[in-house]
Amino acid sequence: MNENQSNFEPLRRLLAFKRHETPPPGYFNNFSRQVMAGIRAGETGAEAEWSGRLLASMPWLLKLLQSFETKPVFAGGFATALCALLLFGAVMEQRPEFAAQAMLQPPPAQPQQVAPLASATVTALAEPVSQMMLAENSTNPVINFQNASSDSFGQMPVSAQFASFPIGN
Amino acid sequence: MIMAEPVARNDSGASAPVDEEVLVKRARGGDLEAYDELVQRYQERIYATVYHMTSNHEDANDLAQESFIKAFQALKSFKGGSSFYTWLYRIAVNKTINFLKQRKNRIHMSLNDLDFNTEHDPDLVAFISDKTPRREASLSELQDKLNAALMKLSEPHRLVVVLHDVQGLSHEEIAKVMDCNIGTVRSRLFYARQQLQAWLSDYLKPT
Repeated sequence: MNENQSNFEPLRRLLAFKRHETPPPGYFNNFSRQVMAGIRAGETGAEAEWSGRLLASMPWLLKLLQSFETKPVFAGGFATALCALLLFGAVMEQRPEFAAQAMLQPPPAQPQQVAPLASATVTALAEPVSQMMLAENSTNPVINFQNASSDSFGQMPVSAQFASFPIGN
Repeated sequence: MIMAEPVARNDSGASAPVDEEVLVKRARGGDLEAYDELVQRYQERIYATVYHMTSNHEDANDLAQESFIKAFQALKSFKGGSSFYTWLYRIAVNKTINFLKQRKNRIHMSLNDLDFNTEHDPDLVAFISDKTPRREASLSELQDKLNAALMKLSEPHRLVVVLHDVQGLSHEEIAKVMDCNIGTVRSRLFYARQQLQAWLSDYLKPT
């Protein structure tokens, strides 16, 4: 190996010439600054990528933001509405008795407005069942099948007639 | 300024391993000031390695910066099994080799100027005046020939020559950076030198 080293000594000395190739003066003064800027830009890029994904998943938000850019009046109106909402919230918060009452009071009973046909049907169905529940005790069947069957067949009386088919004269 | 002297052991991590360890730990926690310190510590060597591999200042600038940025992003995966600078070298070398593979057969040299010391380096002046066939051969011409010869080598062979004969890394360090055994480093170095000697024979007359 030493022989090889000595054979290559002129070449090594020539290669040492490469060490004299230097970048422009002051190049390394800004190098680390540029690296840091690249790292920060990468972080900003990641944030931008995240916000891009968010906007892509909610197109309505993108439209809203675009409308703010194209129509400043709309943006102003939106901001005013937001401020009014905040103001309203702040005012309401300063009136605790109102908030407490609002929370404690049950909502006022509203008359049931049901369609006449529907209410009649509900009443008709509910009454026999309620009467039955009151009359019978819990061990008896809920429905009296005997009455039920007679009632149902009573409404449809069965009648039979002889049929005659004249054959020839 | 002479760039990329044979690796000074003082700042390679041997004399101040604690400092480097602390800086790496802080940088892993997102401390950019600590990482800035690490960048300043290794910027010249990383740049020089990439520059000598590409023979192009603009490419070297981009690749060196990208290497540092990538290293910062990958710092959490740095386990500390090797020294930080070996790990950093590996990132820069892999990035450069990938770049050169993509840019195959499209070599465009953009060489840096020679520093002030070149003309006053007695060793080099004597070498040129004694060894070159044409004594009027300018330094810049020699620079072109030397870079062109290096660019003819394959990337692994060029890398070994650059790291050993230009940067001054030991065989062991090169083996770590290239993730191969020392025997491979030695054989590549021998082959690369033979090739260069043949291509630069006009400038290398035997003594």
